[in-house]
Amino acid sequence: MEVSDDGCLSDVIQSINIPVEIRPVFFVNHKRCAFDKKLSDGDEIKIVSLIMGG
Amino acid sequence: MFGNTGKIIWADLSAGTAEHRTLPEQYYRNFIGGAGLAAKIFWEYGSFEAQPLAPESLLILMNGPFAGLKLSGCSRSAIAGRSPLTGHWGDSSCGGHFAPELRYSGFDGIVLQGKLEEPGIILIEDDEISVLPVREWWGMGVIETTALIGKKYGKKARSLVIGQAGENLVNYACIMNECHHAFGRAGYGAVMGSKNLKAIIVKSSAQRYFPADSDSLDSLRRELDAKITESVTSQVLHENGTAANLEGGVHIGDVPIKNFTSSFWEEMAEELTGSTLTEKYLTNKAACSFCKIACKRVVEIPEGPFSIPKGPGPEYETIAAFGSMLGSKDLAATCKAGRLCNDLGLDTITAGSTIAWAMEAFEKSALTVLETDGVELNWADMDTVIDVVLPQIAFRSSKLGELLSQGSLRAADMIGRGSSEWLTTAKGLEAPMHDPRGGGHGLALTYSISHRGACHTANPMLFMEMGACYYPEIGFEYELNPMSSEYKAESALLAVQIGAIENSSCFCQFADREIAIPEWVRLFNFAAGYDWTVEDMMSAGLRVFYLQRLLNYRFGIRASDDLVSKRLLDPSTDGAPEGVEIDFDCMKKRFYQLAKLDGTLGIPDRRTLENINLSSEANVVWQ
Ligand code: SF4
Repeated sequence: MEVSDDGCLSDVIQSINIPVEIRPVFFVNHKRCAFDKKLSDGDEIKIVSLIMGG
Repeated sequence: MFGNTGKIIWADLSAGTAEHRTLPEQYYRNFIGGAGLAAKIFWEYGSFEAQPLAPESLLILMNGPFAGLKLSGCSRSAIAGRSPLTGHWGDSSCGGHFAPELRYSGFDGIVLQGKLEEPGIILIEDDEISVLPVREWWGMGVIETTALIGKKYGKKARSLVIGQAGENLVNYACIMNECHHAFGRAGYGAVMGSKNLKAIIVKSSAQRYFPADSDSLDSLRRELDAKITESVTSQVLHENGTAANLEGGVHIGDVPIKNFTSSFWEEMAEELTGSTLTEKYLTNKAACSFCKIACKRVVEIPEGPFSIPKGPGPEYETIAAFGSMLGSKDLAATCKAGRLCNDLGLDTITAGSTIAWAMEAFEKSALTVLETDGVELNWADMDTVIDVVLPQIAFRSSKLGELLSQGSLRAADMIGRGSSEWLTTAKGLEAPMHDPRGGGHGLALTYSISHRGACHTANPMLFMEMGACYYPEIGFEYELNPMSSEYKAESALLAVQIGAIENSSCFCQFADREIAIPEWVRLFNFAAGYDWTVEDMMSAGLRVFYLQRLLNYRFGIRASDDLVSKRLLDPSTDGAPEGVEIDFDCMKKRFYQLAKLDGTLGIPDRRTLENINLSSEANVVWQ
């Protein structure tokens, strides 16, 4: 996925439209990040759902 | 009385008698039912001197007011008493099918005291109660015993059964319902074993449940059941069970790895997660009575070293306790270890955690082959865990089995050599498979203040930190940052009240995530006729929380015991929580202020107790 030069995590989140009910948590390069995290070329983004803990 | 029947069974096993007794109606309104009512019964009638496994010790099983109601999540009950594992007050909750059947027979609970002369059972058929000898059942596993009960008393008979671990007084023996549902924690299977009681069987002839307002309750029940069934959470639990979130949990650092020494292991996440269990081994979904979520798993592993026939499968706690905690990513092995624990009657959390502690001790040479009769305890060696260690624990048949049958805290005391550094307990109870460092710092606080020790079901803190529930009517409408101590004391104070309400009404924590505070109040009023306001209900929750602390106070627990092991607080060395410190002291200090707990004694002052209708209790502790 391409993001603009000054793009941040929230741009990606908006573009893929994840339902809030699944309580997504975002990781950039294996670190949990806030929505305003700036992204750089080659960053690996992982989205994890915290739907429920048993 | 409504919802409740007002009647309990009081069994004096030494005398071989069981009689009906009634409890004052006020006990129900003040202490709700389940864990709360059990605490009150012990306060009034229990011995604080009796050791947990002595005949005089009381074992108290209580339903909540909703048992028997055909609503998802209502079919649980609580068992309580002095725990042989921790030595202080505790309780444990179990779903399945026993609670409604007991209610339909006309009883709210069973109090057991004394000891049978020879192994026996209690048989409840409506209001007929018999105590019968079953010498030939002693020594059988849970699966064989439950099958025998089905043959002898019919498929409709519901039972609570102990395995060999309970008979042999293993400190963390559990009590099983239908081989699938467990009163897992704190060792009440050993208490049953100490009373020579192999099983309690109940069979009712009709489904009798008499609520205060049937019509209103029925329409509320339909509304709630629809809400519970339609929620995304319930659907995920239905599809992939309670381990559905394991993979996500690994990424945030919630899932403990190798005795909490690591917080991240990517390959394991996919191997052990709920969807993998569904794809590889699931044959059916199962449920507690009347539950539409059906989070329980039925699995079959047809071949391989860990093959097992079709039957009950593991939930999240068991998968993590016999998977990541032991450094193993073998899902089949977790299924087999879970099945074996169910049959032997062992709590999977304490069993897995105690073995994990022993593996670390072995790795660091604090435990050697001299103490293990030559058994090597290596990470991920699941053959040894299943074929050697678990049976030896349940039968206490070797030096190693005897040592590990004590639970990790006492085992660490016994071997010394710095091994207490590797404990993962609070008040002697091994922590569940949620690591406060990644799962949420508030868990460290709620593990420490929980009356029974490290426990994630004593209250909904885990869910509150995860953003899985909000309670705007009582002031919890803000988002918590799991990785900080901010607002954790404030939210924990609400969590302990809600937890007491859940565990006293015996409602499943998965199902009741969807129930809003005003709906809780309506449920209590329509079912039990408690005539509560929101404030009354929350006060009842706080009253139960305080009473449980008072019980522990009388067992010698003080503020300084509200701690968690260092291992659960030391910053993680990898994964999402790497390097993050937990400000435990600050959370605890603030919680003590908010909950009005004495900083040394750990209990509320006299006036606080009197204000919440615990005056007679205050007179005992503040003489
Ligand atoms: S959600 Fe699962 S544990 Fe809870 S009542 Fe339903 S089947 Fe039982």
